[in-house]
Amino acid sequence: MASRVAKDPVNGSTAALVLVIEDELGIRRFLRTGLEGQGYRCIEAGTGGEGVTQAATRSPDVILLDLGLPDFDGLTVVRRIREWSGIPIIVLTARGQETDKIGALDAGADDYVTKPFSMPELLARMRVSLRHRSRSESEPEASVIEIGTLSIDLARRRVSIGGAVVPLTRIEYRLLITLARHAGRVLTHEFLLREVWGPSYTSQSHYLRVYMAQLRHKLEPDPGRPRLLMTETGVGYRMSESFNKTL
Amino acid sequence: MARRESAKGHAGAIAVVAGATAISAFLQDHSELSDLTMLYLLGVVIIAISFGRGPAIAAALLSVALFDFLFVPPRFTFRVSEARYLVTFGVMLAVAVITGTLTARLREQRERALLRERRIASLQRLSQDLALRSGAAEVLEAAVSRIQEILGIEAAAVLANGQGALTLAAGNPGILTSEPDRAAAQLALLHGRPIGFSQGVPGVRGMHMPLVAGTKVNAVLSLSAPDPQVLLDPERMEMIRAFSNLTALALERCRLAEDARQIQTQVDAERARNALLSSVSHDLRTPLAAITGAASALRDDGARISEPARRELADTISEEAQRLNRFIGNLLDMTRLESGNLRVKKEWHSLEEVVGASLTRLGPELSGREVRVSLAADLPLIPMDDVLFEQVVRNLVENAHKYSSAGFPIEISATVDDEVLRLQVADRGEGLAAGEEKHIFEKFYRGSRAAARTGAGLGLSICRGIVDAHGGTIVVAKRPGGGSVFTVNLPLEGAPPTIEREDAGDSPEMETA
Repeated sequence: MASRVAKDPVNGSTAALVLVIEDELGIRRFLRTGLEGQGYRCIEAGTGGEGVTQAATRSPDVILLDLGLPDFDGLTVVRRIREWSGIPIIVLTARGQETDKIGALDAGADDYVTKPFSMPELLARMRVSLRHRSRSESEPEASVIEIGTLSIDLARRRVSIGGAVVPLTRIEYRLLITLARHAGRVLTHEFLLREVWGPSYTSQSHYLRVYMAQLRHKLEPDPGRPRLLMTETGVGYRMSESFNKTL
Repeated sequence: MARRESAKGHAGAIAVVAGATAISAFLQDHSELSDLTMLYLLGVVIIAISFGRGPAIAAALLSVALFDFLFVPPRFTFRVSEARYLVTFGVMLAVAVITGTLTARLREQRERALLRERRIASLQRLSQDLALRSGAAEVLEAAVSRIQEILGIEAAAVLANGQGALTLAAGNPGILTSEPDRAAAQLALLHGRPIGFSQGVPGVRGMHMPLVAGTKVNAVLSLSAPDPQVLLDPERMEMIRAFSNLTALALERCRLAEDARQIQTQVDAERARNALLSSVSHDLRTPLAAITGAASALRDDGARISEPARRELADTISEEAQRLNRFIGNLLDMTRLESGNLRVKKEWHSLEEVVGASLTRLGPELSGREVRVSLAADLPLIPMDDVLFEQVVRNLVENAHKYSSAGFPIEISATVDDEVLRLQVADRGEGLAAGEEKHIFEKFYRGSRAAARTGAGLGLSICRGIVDAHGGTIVVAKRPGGGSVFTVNLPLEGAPPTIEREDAGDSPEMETA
């Protein structure tokens, strides 16, 4: 596992470079130890300003950004970096800051982890972000998305689980492929509403709730305890990267 | 009143003297003149006893005149033939004056005694009445109505509010609507001295009695009457003073009781704070001690510790840190709830999703415990704050998991009835001890059987705080067959928004032939 993520997604040879923008020394130390143990290379910045500079000069492969920085808030850092770069940004936030999470995601962050988080949780998010970045830069989208036993044939617009076709309505299908294209990543309510229903629906979150429930009832073995279409309470939804269901 | 009394006395004197004269006329042929004198004397004494000195003297003078004119020879003249009759006249007058004075004094004494008795009785009534009242407002209300009833004058009570202005505490505003009287009441309140019209302050029509206890003026009684002179009657003045003193004492009693209550409240708050501090420090220190110990063991003896032991130490650190995190999270939530800073962001949510997210989040903690979820198939979208409500479900399930036997499933069910969502979390635990239903939602309360488990007693009070903030209720009851059921009732507040349905069979599939 370590060897796979350690490959630089662009060059395929050197280890991926992680920029940690975090003012707490303890967290920086723990991140450096953990990440280097997994084969990543690590650079650190203690302030937002320093972070933006490092992001420009060292061109890291992924950025871990603390939202509570001493000089300017994390959102500003996200916006500054997004002005010129699409480097994956994973935001580190505290619990109960759902508004901040949504703000960071809307400003262009790729994902978030909530403090206190475990190393495996963070590594999983980083892997997803790195993979999506490499995919968007390389070949065009595959015509079939497969997530465990779930298979979405984009060309024929057909969804099946373990080979059995699951009939979906047009909107259910659009919602599913939006989530599937970003599998492993959190998508905010607003993003999903805009992508699936259009810009005038961004505040109509009840549409999302109803269709999400419909999708779960068609795809999940136990819709009350989903394993594919995960809820990120207060923020949005995340399609899990692995899914097994036998119909 | 006094004039009418004396008119009655003089009329009585005339009647009695006339009576004595009539009897004397009837008896004169068979009696000595001295006998008739006795009759007249008797009349004078009767008048003296009944009406006092004035009428008695009048009766004596009238008796002397009639006796002289009608019976003393030469009759039908006021001339007196013998000097001894002059002595008789003198004796009659003296008897009249002496008995009149004596009886009048007796009467006065009796009347004073009666008055004193009445006054004592009414003071007693007032003090009994005041003793039953609690709070300054009630005391003043009682005093004012008693004064009006017993003294027959208008009364009102005013208090100083914080800004030095007057507020009416009891009675009708009456004279206090006039500016000079309001100023007088204010002065009385300020200086603790009675101020009234008798002091010649222009425009003041009432009398304003400060209610002083110790050195503190607690309130002012403002008294008035259509004829202000009535207030100056010494008798009434004395009553007014006595009433004022009683009321002032009652007010002071109320103030002291209020002070005592406040001190008790402070003591309680202090005790609660101490309980909180000791609970907080215990719940913070225990995991910290474990973490510190495990971490230092890893640092100092890392090389000598076997791999499984190292693994165990790392697990300890991780688990205790999570426990610490949960506790701090609960503390923060509690603080937010109590400070009123909690903003409930209601949106239309699917309960299935919120319950599902709670269970997913709890996942590792439930360590394989079976949770049965049965939500009514026709549940509408429910207006709630998903982040907060997820926590309610999580805390309830966590609580059920902690306090029930692992062999039995935790059951979550929900129905909608009469525009109210009813969500229940049921377990097969030891159940609640009698009387615990009320306390279990209190902060830092831990059930009688909780001693052996970890936890600070915050989870359920957070649940209640959140449900309250949603306008709902949460209760717990014994479950038939053992265990407890927690029930959350949440009003639905109108119909959920409608959504445009897709056409049936609106399929995205593009079948290729």
